[in-house]
Amino acid sequence: MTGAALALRGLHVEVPDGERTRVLLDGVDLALAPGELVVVTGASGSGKSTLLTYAGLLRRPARGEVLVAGAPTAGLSERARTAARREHVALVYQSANLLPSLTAREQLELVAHVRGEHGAAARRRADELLARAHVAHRADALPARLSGGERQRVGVARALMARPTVLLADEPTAALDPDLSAEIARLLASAARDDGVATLVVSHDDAPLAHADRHLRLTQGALVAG
Amino acid sequence: MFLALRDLRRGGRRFALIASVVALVAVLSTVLCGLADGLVRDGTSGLRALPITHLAFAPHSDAVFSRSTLDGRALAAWRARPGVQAAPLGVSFVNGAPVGGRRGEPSIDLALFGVRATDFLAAGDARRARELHGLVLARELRDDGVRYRIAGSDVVLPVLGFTYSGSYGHVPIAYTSLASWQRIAYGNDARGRYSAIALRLPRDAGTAAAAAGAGTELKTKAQAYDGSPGFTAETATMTLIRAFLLAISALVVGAFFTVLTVQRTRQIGLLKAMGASTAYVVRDGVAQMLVIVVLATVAGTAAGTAIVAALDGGPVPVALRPGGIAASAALLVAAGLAGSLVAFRRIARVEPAIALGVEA
Repeated sequence: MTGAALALRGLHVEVPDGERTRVLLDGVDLALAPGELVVVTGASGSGKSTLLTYAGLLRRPARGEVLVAGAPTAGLSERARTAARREHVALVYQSANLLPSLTAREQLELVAHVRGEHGAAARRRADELLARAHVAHRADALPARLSGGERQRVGVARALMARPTVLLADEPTAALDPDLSAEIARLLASAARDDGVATLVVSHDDAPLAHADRHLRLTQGALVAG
Repeated sequence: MFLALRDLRRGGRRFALIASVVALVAVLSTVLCGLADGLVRDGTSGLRALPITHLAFAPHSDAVFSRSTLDGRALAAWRARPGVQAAPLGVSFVNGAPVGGRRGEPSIDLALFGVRATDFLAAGDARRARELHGLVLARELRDDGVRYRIAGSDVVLPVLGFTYSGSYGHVPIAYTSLASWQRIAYGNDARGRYSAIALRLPRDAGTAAAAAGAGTELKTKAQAYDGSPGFTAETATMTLIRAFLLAISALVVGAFFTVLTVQRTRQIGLLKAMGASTAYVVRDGVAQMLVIVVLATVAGTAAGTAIVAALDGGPVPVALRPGGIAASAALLVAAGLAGSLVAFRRIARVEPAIALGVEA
């Protein structure tokens, strides 16, 4: 057991590259405390999204260990890993990844539904989070009717709907102009500070750096101080 | 159902094509069901109308009247059993040409049933023909004052009356006395022969032993339908066509949902990434499929039922049997469900990492 909300120990990932294999993560160690915001930057293809894949329990590492909320995950069955994701992990995506047939409010209600929470309480919380992300007035709009910035704010609100222990954001400001990027970065920082969520942001954009507790760079499979 | 219902409500056009195809299959399936039931009814209505529980045939005749010949010994053996009502029945197909002033009019094909006036088979208007040397025809052949010469014999029978007699092997039934039938079938050498014995058996009649004792092969009324000319081939053909339709429906629904699942791979990955179990995602997909297939089947079945109702009473033999139509619709839904299982198997294989665009 450990006090870190998220801990990666000796995480090693190789991927096929033609006839050979390429090392994407070479024994990565990382620990995030509750409420801490860590930003990882790196060149395109350096393995930033892959890092989130393993940190978010979306894949099982062949070597190394991932601990979420202090508990090791290596021995978990697929069903238990899914439950751990549902309980502790939320993701914010580069392109928001909103479901086209759901309104902004329903994107959040879906998270509650997946967690087995229904009814007025879920709807109230969804409205509160949309208000906090400054998109309450767009609650009934479908994604096709939202601007890029609005979509990303709904994406962040959706991630917070799960009351996660760990929030992982994959290039959350990449497709936005500087003003919108700064706003999304502020929103993520507020999630970390106000809700105590351990937040790991991977980005090649500078916007999230202004709020980071730590800045790391992923280079040649290793995390180094930025 | 959270996502499935909203997807249906807001992406209705995407599902219109598959719903139309399923509805069309349901229309075809219902009309075929009506045709199959109509053919069965048309081919066996005469037997159905007989007030009997069983028929006894000569051994190995497979309920085909033309293969069966019995005589008074078999009848006496059946009549000797307590509680059994038995009557000789002669059945053959004949052609009757109008004679007298009606020359030049077309001849008619008849399934000629010969019965004794004193037996329980005789009832109502048909009794007169059984007592007299004449014909009682189906109501639809109503044409008073005609006499028919039965082809292949010199027997001329006047029409004595009309009744509902149904048809056998799609040929209208005409009743005559057993003596007239025997004269047509055997000439002057009938020796008391007839085709089969019509029976009313009490429930605990010990039927197998009785049939063996009488040297006969016993069939229930429903089993005797199999001997109706073309009955087995017709029902087998209709069953095969309906089975093909069900298979096509299963394939179409399966193919549609497979394509839909492939298109939604990233969406499924997203759901799994937020902690939805495979069972949750599959439940959502099955619910969506069921809503589409059930609604389309109900609409198609209603349209098919309307078509069958419109055809009823016309030259095409159709019948509306609610049980049969409901079973046909239920089978269609089951076929859709079976077909979509292939698609839902793919859902289990979708990795949550796809949500991040990481596929390697």
